[in-house]
Amino acid sequence: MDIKAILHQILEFANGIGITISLMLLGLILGLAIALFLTLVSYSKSKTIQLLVYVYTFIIRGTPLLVQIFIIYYGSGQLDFIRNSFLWSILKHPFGCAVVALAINSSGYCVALFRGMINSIPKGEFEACKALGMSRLQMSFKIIAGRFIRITIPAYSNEVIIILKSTSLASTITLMDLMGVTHELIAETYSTLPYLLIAGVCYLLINLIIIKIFKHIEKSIYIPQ
Amino acid sequence: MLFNGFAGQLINGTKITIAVSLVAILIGLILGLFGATCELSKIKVINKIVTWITSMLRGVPELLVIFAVYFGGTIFLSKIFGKYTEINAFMAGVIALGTIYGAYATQVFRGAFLIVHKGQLESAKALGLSKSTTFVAILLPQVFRYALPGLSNLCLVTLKDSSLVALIGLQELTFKAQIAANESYKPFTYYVMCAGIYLVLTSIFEIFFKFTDNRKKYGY
Repeated sequence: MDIKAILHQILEFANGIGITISLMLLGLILGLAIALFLTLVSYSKSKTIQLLVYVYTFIIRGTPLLVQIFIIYYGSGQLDFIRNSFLWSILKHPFGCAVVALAINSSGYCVALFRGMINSIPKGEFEACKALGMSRLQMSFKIIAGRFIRITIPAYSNEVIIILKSTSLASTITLMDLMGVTHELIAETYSTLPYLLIAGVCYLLINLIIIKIFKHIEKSIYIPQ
Repeated sequence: MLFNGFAGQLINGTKITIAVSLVAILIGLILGLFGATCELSKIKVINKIVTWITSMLRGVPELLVIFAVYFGGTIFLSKIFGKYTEINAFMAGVIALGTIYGAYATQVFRGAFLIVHKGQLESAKALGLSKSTTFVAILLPQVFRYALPGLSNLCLVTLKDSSLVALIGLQELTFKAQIAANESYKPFTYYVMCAGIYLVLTSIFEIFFKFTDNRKKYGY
């Protein structure tokens, strides 16, 4: 194998890693936004809204991500009202579809996680806020938010790693992420295991970096008791 | 014919999905128990190696493991038989999903083993029970009870991950939906139907686990 070919392959892998990471970050941010919104909404007094959020998480968590990606990528073209709306400018690209699918998928799991965490905060704190005459908004942002962030971040790091692993499914809708590049190189060279090994090592390294970052964040927000 | 005959196809696919998941779960349970005993063994080398393997398996995308088993298995079989032999997609899928499930189950079982009080093992020794009897009669019944919630979650994950086996050509539910979508030019209809079937399957699993969760109180 000459140097030029090796250089070409390294560049391809670098490109793939770039797409994988940007998929992950966009999916993460969008998913977090949806999840936070739904978590807030799920505590409303209206029974209908509570039920809607429950049904949303039930459906998202009960179906495979691959099928969700296929529904969004292949299925959205069948519906005229999506094709005529502004959504189509996002959903006509595989990248947009992958980001939307990842975000929706992770938001379903995150809502369940966030609700569990909020419910684990002792009732006394809510009551103490009320006793001090705080409004609902003051209570949420001044007391509960800080508490919530501290207890949620360790569990949320798992969610980030799951999203990273899920980005590999974007290769099934023609995206050239790390997995897609691996597939392409395998098809070009007919040697499979070396490329799968390289891809595996790349994923593990990204994993390691994520874990390190979260360890750092956990340390910096830790309050000694 | 219902849905131009695609309904029958989807039902056939559902059967294969269930078969793949159940066999993978069975393999995973055995691997998980084995892995947990290795991780808790006093021999440092075994302990380290198994910990490394399971944490690596948990850090790599499931899709990658499935491809590695599929392509690696084909190379392996070709070497053995001396000519090109492709591994059966069902076998490859079951082995890959089973290994992944096993890696996660190792963690669950490890936690469960650690919960069982040491005094029980000591009293089993004092009663003169052999090591295998202690494991089967004292440890396992308790470990399974502690591990059940974690394992049932993993079962649901495996059921959903079984859709990935469609990508190596096994004709399970997602694969059949893909065929129906391509043939009929109605991808939305068929993929949503497929998602609905998965939803029903996961609900059935969940009801079953609720039942076992209630049952585990008895029998002590």
